[in-house]
Amino acid sequence: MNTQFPTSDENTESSETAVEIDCSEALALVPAYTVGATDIDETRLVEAALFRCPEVLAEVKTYRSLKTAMLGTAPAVEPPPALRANILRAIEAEPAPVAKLAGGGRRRNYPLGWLAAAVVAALILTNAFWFSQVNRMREDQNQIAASLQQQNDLLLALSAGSAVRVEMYSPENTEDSGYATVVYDPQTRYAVLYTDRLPTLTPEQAYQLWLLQGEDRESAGVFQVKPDGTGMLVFHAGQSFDRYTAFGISVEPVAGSQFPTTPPVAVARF
Amino acid sequence: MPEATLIADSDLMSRILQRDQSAFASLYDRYGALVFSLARHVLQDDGMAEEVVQDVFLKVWQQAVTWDEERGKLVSWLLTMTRYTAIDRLRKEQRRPLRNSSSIDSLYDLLPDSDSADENLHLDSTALRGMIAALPDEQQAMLQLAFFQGMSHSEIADKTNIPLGTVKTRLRLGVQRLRHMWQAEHPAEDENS
Repeated sequence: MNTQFPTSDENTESSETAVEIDCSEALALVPAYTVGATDIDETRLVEAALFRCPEVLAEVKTYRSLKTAMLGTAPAVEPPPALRANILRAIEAEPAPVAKLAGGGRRRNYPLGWLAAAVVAALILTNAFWFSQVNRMREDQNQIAASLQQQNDLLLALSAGSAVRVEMYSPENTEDSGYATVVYDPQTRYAVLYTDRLPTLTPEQAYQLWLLQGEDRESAGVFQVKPDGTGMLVFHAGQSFDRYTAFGISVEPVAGSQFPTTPPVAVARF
Repeated sequence: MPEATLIADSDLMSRILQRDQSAFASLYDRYGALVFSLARHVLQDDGMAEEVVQDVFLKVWQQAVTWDEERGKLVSWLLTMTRYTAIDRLRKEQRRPLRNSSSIDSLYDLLPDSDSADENLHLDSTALRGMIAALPDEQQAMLQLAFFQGMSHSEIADKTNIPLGTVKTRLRLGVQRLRHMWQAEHPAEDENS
């Protein structure tokens, strides 16, 4: 466990980097994306294109029912009878889920510039269903807690201005050091991390995002950055965000680590 | 389970939200075999498949609130969760790097579900098995490695010693061909705009 994790935060600026998207390249990757075969850079390209290229979004949707049906193509195998009893015993020992409420801290809501615009554009392209969800957001928070899930919920939160944005900076905080931004939806705990100007790593290395609660470090996932230092990670927090005391990014082996093993390259403390 | 099958999935889930263990048992009776079959197919190991099934159903118990009926049928939600959980387990077993959530087609899953896609999942899947079997062997193999083993283009190339470009081409052609066959049988299921 690295005691330098975290050190400081306090941040003022935001910066958003526009990324050029090759729609035709993304379109050719859609079949592989459908079955989860795209490599990280390819996945990023397709997912970025979903917001910028209507033809890519339309193409992805043509695979939807196929993918659903593929989930059921595994040969039927009966589970052992004891499994049922084991599972029923396990839930008896489980406490009731804890209600989740958003926390404030130093996290702030921000207008999100082109990102929000892209999200709204994607919603328009997707269908009117999302707009009904946005309306619900205004009307019934409890209903939102039930219906907001996965990343579409985060996107909706962005478009409605209810997402929370946290800036992460290098402990050195020099002008040319990299930084990262986490945007999360407090209700659903889905979040997106964007980075800029982080140094590129060797093929054996990856960045790993940590969510810290006192001495506990929870990994939110590993990610790579492009040569310009931009990168993205979509993740789901294990707990309500108001329980975390800091976020940190460290350099780890490409498979990730159980705990941070290097000093943080970017941090935010609450 | 004739009695259990009369109860709608949404009603079962509402009761599970109220911590009704008999509803949870009914849900397991309805979908446990399907979930186990998928986990077993990914992992090729009974013990690990049982652990995945247990993880999945515990998530249902703990996070039933996150299922949204408007976004898709319960069986799709369960099987999607099973696939992710089983592939994560497989990658850990094989000491392959975990892929973050955005790298296993998760944004794809935010798109609106089609109403009929999983209405008759068993029937659809039986037909789909035949379509997959009609693909050339090398395309079937790519599909299996990608969808059920969670392998990316480059991982498949490494495993099979097939050039990366060939892997990409075979997989793209195979999935496209499958979609064409699928759409011929289900012409209006997916949205095109």
